[in-house]
Amino acid sequence: MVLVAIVQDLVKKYDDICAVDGISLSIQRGEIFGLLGPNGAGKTTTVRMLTGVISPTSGSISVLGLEMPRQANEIRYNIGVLPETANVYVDLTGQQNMNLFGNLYGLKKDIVVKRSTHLLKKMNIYEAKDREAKTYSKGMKQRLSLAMTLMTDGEVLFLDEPTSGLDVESSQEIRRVISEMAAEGRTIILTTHNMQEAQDLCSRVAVINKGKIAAIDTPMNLRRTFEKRQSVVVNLSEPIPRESIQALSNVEDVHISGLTIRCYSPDPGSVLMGLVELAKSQGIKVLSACTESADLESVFLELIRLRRESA
Amino acid sequence: MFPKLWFRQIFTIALKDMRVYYTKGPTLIFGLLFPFFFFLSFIVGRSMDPTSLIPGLIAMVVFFSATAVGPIIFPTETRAYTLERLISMPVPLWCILMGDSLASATFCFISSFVPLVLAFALIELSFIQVGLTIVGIIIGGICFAFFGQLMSAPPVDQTSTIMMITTMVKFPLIFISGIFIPLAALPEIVRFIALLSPLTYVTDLFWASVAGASVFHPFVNIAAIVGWTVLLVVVSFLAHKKTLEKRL
Repeated sequence: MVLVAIVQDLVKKYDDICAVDGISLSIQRGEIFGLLGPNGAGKTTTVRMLTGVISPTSGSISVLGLEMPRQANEIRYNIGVLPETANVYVDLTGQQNMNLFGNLYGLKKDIVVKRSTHLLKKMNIYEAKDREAKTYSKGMKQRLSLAMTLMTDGEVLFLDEPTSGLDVESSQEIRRVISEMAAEGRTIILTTHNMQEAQDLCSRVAVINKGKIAAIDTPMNLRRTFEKRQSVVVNLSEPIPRESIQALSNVEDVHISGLTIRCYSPDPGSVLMGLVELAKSQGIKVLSACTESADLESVFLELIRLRRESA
Repeated sequence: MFPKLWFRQIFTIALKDMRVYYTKGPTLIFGLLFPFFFFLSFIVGRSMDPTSLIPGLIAMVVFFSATAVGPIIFPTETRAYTLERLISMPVPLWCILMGDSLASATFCFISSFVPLVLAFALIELSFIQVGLTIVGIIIGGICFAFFGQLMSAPPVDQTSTIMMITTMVKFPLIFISGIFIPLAALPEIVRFIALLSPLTYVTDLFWASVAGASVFHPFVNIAAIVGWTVLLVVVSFLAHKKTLEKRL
């Protein structure tokens, strides 16, 4: 097992705010490693430190056997970085953006031409290469941004929320390219707040919130935690005793707030049916009902709880 | 390998800046319109000898045009997140600053061509005078490019904020640096303050090259401008290094 990135006790503080609080992880060559967490969890700050854009307050980072940030420039020749926002130069054409990157990496001119043509075609934006990027749609800008990242042919790629805010078609296009890059043997560090995306793409996922890692596991195992944290929310005309709700099958946890009941369950459909039946049997009206998928915050809390229990 | 690559990176960044920022509103307003109208308001209604007008005109064009591009690059790139993109690549910060300053200085060289031609047309300048004026434009343009660069160090993402700061610094310098009133005619206390301004030495160099009447010897002026340039390069780099993380 070859490790391409090793992070030890990484901390980043801004005055009295701790954005990253003691993260440790190691990433194997050839894997797609996901950093999953809600907005503001510390994912982008972690990636910025891993790519040397910002310096850690404390802790150590090793990428490709080199020390970050001391050897940042050497590392950057062998990595590709796609920051969170599709930050292309909108006043330049797609081709000029590609040339800019190729030249800044010191690639030979014929390689710049060859590689940019290949990548623009791969991203389905070759026809628009001579148009200013300001005329591109958001999805096209993001694909151009990803193409620029790939100009380096980097061994390790850091992709910060590459599909965030994109339509379904553009998201699928980008996920397809990420899968292809992984198949070519590249190591990919992907940040996302989308569990489905993490499950579809990643071999391992670190769940991060408030600067701390709650768990590092396979998406399949994390999925189970997600499923447990799905919920049913019903509004009733009169209260139902907690005990009767807890007696329903598949109910993991119950939160009651006034006449609103939230039941956590891996099978929210059957719990909803049970709740409706229960209300009906007691002559209580169901005013509204819905099922909700797990939010990352609650999954994170669940993971913390599980970790404490196992400890 | 690295020096060659650094040069390429500097020229690539300068070329990008020329393409992106030369036609931006603040560049045209602060770099071209301001010196033009400033000068127009000074000469309208006065019958002045071209020899006493041209040094101030060239100095003002050099000063305004060289400080027009640099200050808008960093706030604009901060707002567009392209700065984060640049610094995540193997491009040292000093190369980014050099590239931006090269674009600023080139804008100055292009803009200064107009008053230089005007000087050539209105005054019979000798070969040495033209040569000295071109030297003044080049070293003055480079010096003020880094001056503009330093002005953009505060970590803000609004061009208007930086333009407000630069205007507050630039305007007083115009009045104390011998552009409208020759240095020798300034009150003694103002003349003392004027010695602290790099624009004073650039203006005085143009007085020497165009009118042949300067307070300092041209070599003294050149040495002072080079000294100011070195100081501005170092301070600008340190200031940007300090504020870079706060921009993200």
